[in-house]
Amino acid sequence: MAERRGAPGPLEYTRRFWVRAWLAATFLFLYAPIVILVVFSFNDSRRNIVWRGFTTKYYAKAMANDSLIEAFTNSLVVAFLSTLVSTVLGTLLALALWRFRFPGKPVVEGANALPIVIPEICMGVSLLVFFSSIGLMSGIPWPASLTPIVIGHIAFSFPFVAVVVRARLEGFDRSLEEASKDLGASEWQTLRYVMIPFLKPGIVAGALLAMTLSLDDFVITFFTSGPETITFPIKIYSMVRFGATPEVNAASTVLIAITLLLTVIAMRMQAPVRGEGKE
Amino acid sequence: MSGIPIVRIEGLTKRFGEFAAVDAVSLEIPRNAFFALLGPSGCGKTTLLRMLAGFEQPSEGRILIDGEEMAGVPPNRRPVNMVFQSYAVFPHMTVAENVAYGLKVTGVPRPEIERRVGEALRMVRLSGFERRRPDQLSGGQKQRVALARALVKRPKLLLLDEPLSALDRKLREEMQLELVRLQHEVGITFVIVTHDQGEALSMATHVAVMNQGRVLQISDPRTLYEQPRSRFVADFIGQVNVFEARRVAAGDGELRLAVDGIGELALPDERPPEKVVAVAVRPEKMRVSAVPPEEGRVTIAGRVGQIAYFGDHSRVFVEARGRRLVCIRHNRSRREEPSFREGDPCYLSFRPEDAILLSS
Ligand SMILES: Nc1ncnc2c1ncn2[C@@H]1O[C@H](COP(=O)(O)OP(=O)(O)OP(=O)(O)O)[C@@H](O)[C@H]1O
Ligand SMILES: [Mg+2]
Repeated sequence: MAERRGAPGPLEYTRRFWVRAWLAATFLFLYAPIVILVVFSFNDSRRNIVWRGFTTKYYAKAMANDSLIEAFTNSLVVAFLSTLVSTVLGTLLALALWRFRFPGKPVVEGANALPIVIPEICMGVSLLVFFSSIGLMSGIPWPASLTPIVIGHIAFSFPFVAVVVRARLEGFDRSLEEASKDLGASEWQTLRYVMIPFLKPGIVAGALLAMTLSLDDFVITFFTSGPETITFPIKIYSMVRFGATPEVNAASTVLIAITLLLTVIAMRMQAPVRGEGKE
Repeated sequence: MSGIPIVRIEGLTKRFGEFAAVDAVSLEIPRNAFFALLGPSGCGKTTLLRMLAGFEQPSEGRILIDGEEMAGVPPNRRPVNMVFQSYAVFPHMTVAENVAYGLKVTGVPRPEIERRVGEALRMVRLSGFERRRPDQLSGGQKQRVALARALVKRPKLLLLDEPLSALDRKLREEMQLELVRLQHEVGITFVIVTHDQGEALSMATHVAVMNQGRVLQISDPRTLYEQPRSRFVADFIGQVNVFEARRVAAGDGELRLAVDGIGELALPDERPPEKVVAVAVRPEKMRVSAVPPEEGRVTIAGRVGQIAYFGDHSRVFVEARGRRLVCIRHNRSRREEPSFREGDPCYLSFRPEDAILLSS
């Protein structure tokens, strides 16, 4: 291209050789493992070390593995429920902290950050102790048996949602809220028609974060899952202990595909409101 | 239309901590008035307006709108709409959606919404912009959206907080005329906050001058300019030459004053205030001449200090008895040569009836 000739401009970092090399190395470091995982899911070999030809039979095999499918379903159900609840809770918490002044507010704010900083292992143990002591850990039929996991996931992911939404709120022009009320809208209508549309990118980002946290959580799930309830990461872990088979790769690839799809959807929803940032 | 004023404010005070932003304000706003709140920055104009809209709770006193007590009535239930200084146009809605918003949330039926939105947009001359987003509008157009959005609600009272301050001068003058036209058209009482005295004088039917939380004077623009009661108002609205004064005698339709820098002054005793502390004369009521003026004018001899040229007029500063007085000369002809230069002796004069009596 014509404009590529000449000395690099001040912001054209990507035209310098060493910057490009660095970028390439970074991408390699980040994505090579994932690419290899995906590629080898199509490898026609039991041992999964040398490439032996293309096949999709491990996908079929993974599909036929009932306990894997069950774990996968569990993970999706848990992720869905905990994302839903923690998004609502986190958003409300952010709104409350932004909107009101009340006694003990700094305490609430601090307590809110706790689940983010507490080591997961501690949270896992404490949840286990808690759930066992109230008898929620065993002898419950299927969907309800996921309750402890869902609650555990909500507990550690809603503060993340709150943090993200709160950051977005800082940029909110309060006179929009006043204008809405001035025009006759109730508190609720103002929330629904003015605040939520403005907060949407933050809420979506928070939800995505909550979902990712839930989908791949191992430690807390490990402690809060009963003997019969198993989620995808835990199932994979138990499978890998007997050697990483292409079946594991196949299942993981499906999960990656789902995550990617959701991320794309989220990014489209996150496209900033037009007109914002001007003025 | 009843005789009660559209707004009645009694002893209204708003304190932030110890500080009274609005201090014991009582006033009435007549129906269909174009009421301007004028005052220096920080004098409490916005606070007063926000109390009318319901965004601030008064510390003391009460507000009646159309005879109804407003205490405890939230902003969304008041028959009042506001145009915000920042416009506060909803960025995620189109122009039409913005204007329709206030009707939608109060459950006005669809066909009526469409009709009224079209009407309101026509009124502010934004027909054809329905589908636009706020980021595709200029400042003046956003302003009109904010106006249409408030007017479409048909409030009893429209509040405008420095609506024109973000516009450039030409657009501002255009919008001033536009606002006056609109107010005539819709017959809604407007309360506008401004710190631009020209804006207040040219648009309003009533002007209230505020300082430090208090209302000093409420008058029609002409009275405010020609008969300000206090030194602050005289000085805030336009320029003025102030002379300290004392009452010497009154009677026989004449008021005699001892005026610093002038001597004894006899004024027609129209409606003399109780107390006189100073006399003020507007610069355009002053005349400067090289020869002593005719009989019947109050004359002060001095020297031309400086002449500032403004195109349509010039300001002549005159040094007289250790003071600096100002006088305006209109440049009525292209060929007119300045008849004096800096340092020339001259006479400043004014008619006694043009002197303003200040009582505080
Ligand atoms: N929420 C508040 N808390 C404390 N003080 C406030 C608050 N709002 C306003 N004030 C103070 O009250 C006084 C009046 O403020 P206000 O905004 O009414 O002034 P204004 O006349 O509108 O000034 P401007 O022309 O600059 O807009 C100011 O001194 C301001 O600092
Ligand atoms: Mg203000």
